[in-house]
Amino acid sequence: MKHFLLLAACSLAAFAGLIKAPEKAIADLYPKGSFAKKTILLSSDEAARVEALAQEKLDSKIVTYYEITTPEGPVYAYVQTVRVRSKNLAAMTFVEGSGTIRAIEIIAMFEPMEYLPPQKWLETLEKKSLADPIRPKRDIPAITGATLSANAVSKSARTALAIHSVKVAKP
Amino acid sequence: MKKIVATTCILAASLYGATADSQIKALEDRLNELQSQNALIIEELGKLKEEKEITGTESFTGMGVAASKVYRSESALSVGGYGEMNYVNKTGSDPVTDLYRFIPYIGYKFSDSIIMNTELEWEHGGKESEGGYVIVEFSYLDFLLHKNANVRVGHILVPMGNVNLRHEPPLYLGVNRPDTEKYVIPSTWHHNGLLVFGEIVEGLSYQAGIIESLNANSMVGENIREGRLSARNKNANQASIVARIDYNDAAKGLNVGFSVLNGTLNHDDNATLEDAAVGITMYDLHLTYKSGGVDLKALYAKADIDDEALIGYEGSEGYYVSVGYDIMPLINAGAKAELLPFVRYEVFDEVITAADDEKTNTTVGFNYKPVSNVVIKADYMITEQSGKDDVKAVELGLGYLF
Repeated sequence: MKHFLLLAACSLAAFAGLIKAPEKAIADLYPKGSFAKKTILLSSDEAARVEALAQEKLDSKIVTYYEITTPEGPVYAYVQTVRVRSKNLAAMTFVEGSGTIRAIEIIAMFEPMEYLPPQKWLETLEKKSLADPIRPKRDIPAITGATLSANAVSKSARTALAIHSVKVAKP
Repeated sequence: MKKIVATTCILAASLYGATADSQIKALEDRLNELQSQNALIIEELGKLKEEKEITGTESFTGMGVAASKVYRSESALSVGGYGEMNYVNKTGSDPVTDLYRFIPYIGYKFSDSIIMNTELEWEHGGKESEGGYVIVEFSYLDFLLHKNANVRVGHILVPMGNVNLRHEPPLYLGVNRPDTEKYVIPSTWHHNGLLVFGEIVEGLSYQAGIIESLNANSMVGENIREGRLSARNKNANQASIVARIDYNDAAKGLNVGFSVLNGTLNHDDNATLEDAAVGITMYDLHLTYKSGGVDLKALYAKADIDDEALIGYEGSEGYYVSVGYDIMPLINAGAKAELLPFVRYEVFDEVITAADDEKTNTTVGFNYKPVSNVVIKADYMITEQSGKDDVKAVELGLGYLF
């Protein structure tokens, strides 16, 4: 019984809502990088263009992103919160200056952890750009048993790429 | 005099210019101040939004930023569900329209590691005289201990096959579920029991445990499906063990696994079955593949019953393959909607006896999903059975998941 309680106490962290703080996600991917956090407000016109490009509805015109300076050039990390079933998932999409996805990290998950997309699946989104559909079951696989999570992450990625294209990318 | 006038004009112009400059400067300062204030407001709103959605202000068991505040900001109550409505026009029967299922899910997170999950089911509108009913399909507590070993206890879905665990209409092709997962694996199959589940290594998961056995009395002369118990079992004298292994290659969209169940059938107080110990073994091999526009599902399942003389048949057996392909990108490359024409072929024997009564279902149709959680379905199914006329059915369906 004592061992059971100890195991239960130790396991709490594994099932908390927040998986990784955004700053920690950046530091893990770019240990030698420095970053600046930015918050911007999209105009109505910009928001409409983002929605058209992403084919998703924006929940807010306020966008927070991190501009990361790395030896290979700037990388932009966008945090998007999307509904999975009745709870949220927060994904951080790292976009290279060229507008392609460098990596995706799930930083918070409020649905049961069994619906968390596996790392291997997240890697299938790397190198995708706005030119790709980024739709589960089409150019990326679906996840058996976590279909709604896959849909949520792909929505988050498309939205991040669209914001990057409309507001952040340098011409 | 002219000189005085000219000097006065120059002076006045200079004074006016100086005033205009100072006014422009003042306006510029004011504009800069407003821009700074605007940026601060946007920043503060961004912080509030972020705090509400993902981060907080205090650390949670060493996880970095503020998990606990985030966690508390989300309601512990979770509501989901699915529903489906069908039209079936089958040879030899009158056409039927049916609000087949309306199913709300209710979940509650008592703590980070103790979670209740319940599925309530209204079938056929719930009116008993019309064949409807309302039941608790599952209701259990999860004790989330470690990613390698967690405990689920209560009224649970038996972890067998493709459909029993994942049966929401947008997740399978065709208006109705495959008969193999209705008569061989009696989906939806939910019994009282206890499971241990988790991940062995990344991509390899398991479920194993003990559940109440099927009821032999209800199966005699019928089929395995009739042996399912409800949430209240008055004769809980026998149990079965069940185990399942799944390998999920998420990068390829592939899931493959097997399940097995072994135990002794339950029985009511009945002179014929009271002292009988009838064993049952059931197993399946299952596969799903969803990538590159392809939606493939396949399953083979078999059930063996020890005492054919007592139950009236020696078990059941079946397999199916269904494959669909999303053609929407060929019609409209940028469309969010999915259009999957599909074909499903299955062969199953509901009760294995000496009689040749195996059935073959061939189904062609399509699933159209305007958005990922809503599906409109249509199909045409032919059921062939030796010595009997073919049964042909036109089926239309509407389903959703939330």
